[in-house]
Amino acid sequence: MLEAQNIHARIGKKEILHGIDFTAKAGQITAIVGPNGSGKSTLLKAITDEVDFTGTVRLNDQDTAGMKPWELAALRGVLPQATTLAFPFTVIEVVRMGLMSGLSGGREDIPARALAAVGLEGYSGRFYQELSGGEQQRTQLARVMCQVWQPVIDDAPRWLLLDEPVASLDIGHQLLVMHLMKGYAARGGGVVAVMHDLNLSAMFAEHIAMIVNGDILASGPPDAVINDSVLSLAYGCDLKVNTPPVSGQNYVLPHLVDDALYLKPERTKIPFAIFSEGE
Amino acid sequence: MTETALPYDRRRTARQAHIWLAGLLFVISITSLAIGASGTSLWGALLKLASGHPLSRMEQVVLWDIRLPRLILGICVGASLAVSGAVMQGLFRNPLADPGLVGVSAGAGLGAITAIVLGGLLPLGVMGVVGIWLVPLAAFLGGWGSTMLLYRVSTRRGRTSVATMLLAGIALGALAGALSGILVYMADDAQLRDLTFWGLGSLAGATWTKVLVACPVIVIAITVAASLGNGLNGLAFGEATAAHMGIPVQRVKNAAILTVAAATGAAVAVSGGIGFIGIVVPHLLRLATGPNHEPLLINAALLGASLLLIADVISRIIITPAELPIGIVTAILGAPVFLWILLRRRGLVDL
Repeated sequence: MLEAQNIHARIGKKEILHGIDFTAKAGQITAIVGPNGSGKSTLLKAITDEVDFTGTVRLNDQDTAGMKPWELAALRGVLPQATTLAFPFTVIEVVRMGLMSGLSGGREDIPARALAAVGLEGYSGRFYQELSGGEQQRTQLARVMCQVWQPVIDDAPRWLLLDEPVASLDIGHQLLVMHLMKGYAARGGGVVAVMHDLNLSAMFAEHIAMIVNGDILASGPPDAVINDSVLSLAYGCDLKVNTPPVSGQNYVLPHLVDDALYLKPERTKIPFAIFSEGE
Repeated sequence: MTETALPYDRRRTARQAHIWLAGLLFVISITSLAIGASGTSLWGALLKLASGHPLSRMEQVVLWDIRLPRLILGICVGASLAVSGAVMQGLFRNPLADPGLVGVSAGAGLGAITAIVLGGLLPLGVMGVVGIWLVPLAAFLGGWGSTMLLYRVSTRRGRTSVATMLLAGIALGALAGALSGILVYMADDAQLRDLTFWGLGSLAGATWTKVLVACPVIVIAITVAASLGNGLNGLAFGEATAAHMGIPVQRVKNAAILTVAAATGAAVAVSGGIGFIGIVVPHLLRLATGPNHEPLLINAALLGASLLLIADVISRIIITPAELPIGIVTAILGAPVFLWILLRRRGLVDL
């Protein structure tokens, strides 16, 4: 269980998050979605202690504030949006860094398996700096997976906290990575991902939190969040949610009616709380 | 799942390099002992020792009091320059960081000059405690202060701006130079003599006292640095990611800054400013065996010591019986390499 309570975070002088309560369960994928600048990445960064925040974050019932870096590293892997490297490491050298701490140490077979899992077999000797953005992101994901390779150790789930893991990937690799996350969750691990793609979120996540202007506008199973009213309110344009006959999964397409695609002015004053469950 | 065939593992190459570089250092050390202006023969002396004959006074002085301390000091200074270069590049996440370039050496120099000129003003009690360690201690404080300042100025939110670092380094160097100038102006004749000898940037004045003063500090600093390999590898990913990998980032940074300051301070205190070893050595090693800091730091110590000894031998034989200051040799050999690094990877310094 990952619990963040009453999270206020500020970047510079601006308060980005206004007292968010966020919970994610192990064994499922929790997606954090929302418009640009809504604070979804900041929420993940507060959970991983990368921004100044007030509030408490508990991971498997332990307050993360009192934990050492190596204790946290053994429990959770964190994937940033993009990573630039200062020196010319090769792909396998980057992935092997995942073995440095945590509980996967010494398992020299894991890096190659992690690379294969993200579809980068044969990339071991390539230089990280010469890869495309999507390949770099998958290399980093392989490194993070190395760090928390077993989803459950001693009955305690381990966590993948991912900031836009599929944003720079092509559609095939998006599905590959989402399936990877699904598999990790299915084996008992916890996955929290900041997502841009609502359809992938609806397709793979069991729980979705919609963040708008630093508050949670709606949260719950995909149906509770990926619906016409929440999305139109959140993104400030008319959006229609449909279900394809094949899978019955929610998907959303913007539709071009008059000036419907222009952002509505009332977007800035959304009545919060009305969609949030349990408020 | 298929086993991925690795093209080649640079870790093994890097570990084998320990042995090759140690061999290189050994050969160069012997050469350095055997070569000198006086014409004293190392082999002759060894033969005499082997056959039980006593050494002549000349041989004793040349080998024991001149060449040997110079050799040891050269090894320590070369190793410390290369290692502090490598540590600083890891800390600043940039292959162009070097104590000599970004004003840390100048800061250490200011400390040393302050100690030489104003040391007499200290109460006798303090002098009694620090004694011969005063100059290296002051150099360490100067190096530490300038490294801290530089890091504070050029790092925001865990990201170091290269442009700010290099420019702040220039400003810092200029400021330290100006303050040093004021102190030189204030100095009396005897102190000026000390300063001149110190500032030559040479191993020529090596004595057992200097070895005793500098080498323990350098050995400790290099030992600490060698344990920072993992931490610096993590820092190459940025501070936040390093922390997520389980690295105690703040502790690694503090240790790195102290190490750079101690190694640079001790080296500067006994040899003046010798440039470019700290840039060239880690860069060559990264090309050869990859950027993994764990083997890199050890290899840098070995190769740095070897290169400085080679430069020292060149500086001794090129205009015998006189000597070229070693700083000139390292600059002539190192500056083109530095330019080559810049030109090869222009993207590094996106000002």
